[in-house]
Amino acid sequence: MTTSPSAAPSVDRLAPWGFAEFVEANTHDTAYRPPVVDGPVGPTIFRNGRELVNFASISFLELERHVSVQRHFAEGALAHGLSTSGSRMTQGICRPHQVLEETIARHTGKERAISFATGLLANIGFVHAMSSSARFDAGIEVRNRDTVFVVDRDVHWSIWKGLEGLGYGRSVHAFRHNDVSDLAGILDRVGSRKTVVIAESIYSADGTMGPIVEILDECDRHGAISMIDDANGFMVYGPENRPYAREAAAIRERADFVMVSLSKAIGLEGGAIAGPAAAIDAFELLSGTSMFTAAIQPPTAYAAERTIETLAGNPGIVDDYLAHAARLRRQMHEIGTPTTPTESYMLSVPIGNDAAALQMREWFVEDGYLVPVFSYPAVPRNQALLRLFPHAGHTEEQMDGFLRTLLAYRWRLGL
Amino acid sequence: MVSNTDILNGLAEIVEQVTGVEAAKVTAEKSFADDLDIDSLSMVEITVQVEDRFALRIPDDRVAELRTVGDAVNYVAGHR
Repeated sequence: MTTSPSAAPSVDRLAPWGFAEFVEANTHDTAYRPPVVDGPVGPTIFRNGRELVNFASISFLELERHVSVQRHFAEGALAHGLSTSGSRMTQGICRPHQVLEETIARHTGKERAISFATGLLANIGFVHAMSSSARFDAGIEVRNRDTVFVVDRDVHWSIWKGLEGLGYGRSVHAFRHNDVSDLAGILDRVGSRKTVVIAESIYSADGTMGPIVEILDECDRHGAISMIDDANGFMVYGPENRPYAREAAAIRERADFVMVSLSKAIGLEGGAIAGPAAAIDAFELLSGTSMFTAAIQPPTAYAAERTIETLAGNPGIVDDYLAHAARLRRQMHEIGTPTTPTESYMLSVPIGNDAAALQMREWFVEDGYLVPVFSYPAVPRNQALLRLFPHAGHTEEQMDGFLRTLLAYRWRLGL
Repeated sequence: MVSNTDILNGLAEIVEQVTGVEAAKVTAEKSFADDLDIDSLSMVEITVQVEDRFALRIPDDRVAELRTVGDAVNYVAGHR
């Protein structure tokens, strides 16, 4: 690592923070500067000058084949500008935001939705709005610092970030991943009349669907509010012919609040919280993350609404993708590679040994595949896994090549 | 007068409630992380309940030093 010749005084002042030592010691990630990608990301990715078959893309539907997203984006930019150029409260929301929020409310079965620049900001805004106290004037106040949150341990960083400082062990509790009896035990113990339970639908590390129906049953039993982070499930699950129709129906009909992401199946960027109108109206003022920062860019909001409606009106797009993902899962099982039991599109392949998993990641890149690896500390020690997103644009040849390569590595590592 | 045995039993009950690890396994020489497989998140929850049960405060930097069950029992005994 080189040091800029003029940096000496500021490097000394930063020394107490230990940044340089941390980076030097970080042997888990040999490339601590992010690789640079050229061109659009898709079933393949052009990275540091090489093309790799891409199993890391969270936007997996190859939408441009089915809906002219880029054209819609351009239309949205011409009609509504590139930026909102102002805050929701002072200037107002742009027409695409209004339409998008109504569309999201309709598709999630809730009264109203509020959009945020990212899903992360939506989650932080939700927790903040549910747990803050604010006094705008006499008679215009909320006092919600006594909210108790009970969350699945594996919920996203953004939820944990929002909960930081609220007092883990008193105002915040976590139940063991997907463990409804642990949730029930905690709810019995907590006994607060202002409890919020947060869980995800499809979890990003293991690809499992949470026990949504049973979680919502416990919320009903204890009078707790429910928020389901449906980032990985929105516009994917719901129709009866797809897996998890029961869970999707429960989210739609029974969850109080839902968080959705526009960066997954929708293939853009942004997030939203949908729920009861009175609460969402209050979130405009209480979330902070909708008011004090930029919004989704207007052309993105415009293209997102077009994309959502296209996915809703053309179920074949997602049906075909889910069949494609299921086929890859079956093929992995046929070559003797177990995957974490789930019917979701995410393939989570337990490897175990952290060093072996990191080695595999390097080999994959050398052989032309980009495969995300979750190792310690993202997961417990020596419970490393590969987490793949099949892409709708992957060819048979690419998938076969990947499977042969994976088999070779497993043999090489004695797995 | 609360004996060390009472403290150990109370701590074992709390550990079982928070983590599901059987109280009988919570013995003085066991390390929370290495022997009982209890992670830092559960340790925070356990600490809060220990504070409530035994009416004391355990500063965050001291929690990190309580590696074994015995360390925790001794801390509680010495700070009540």
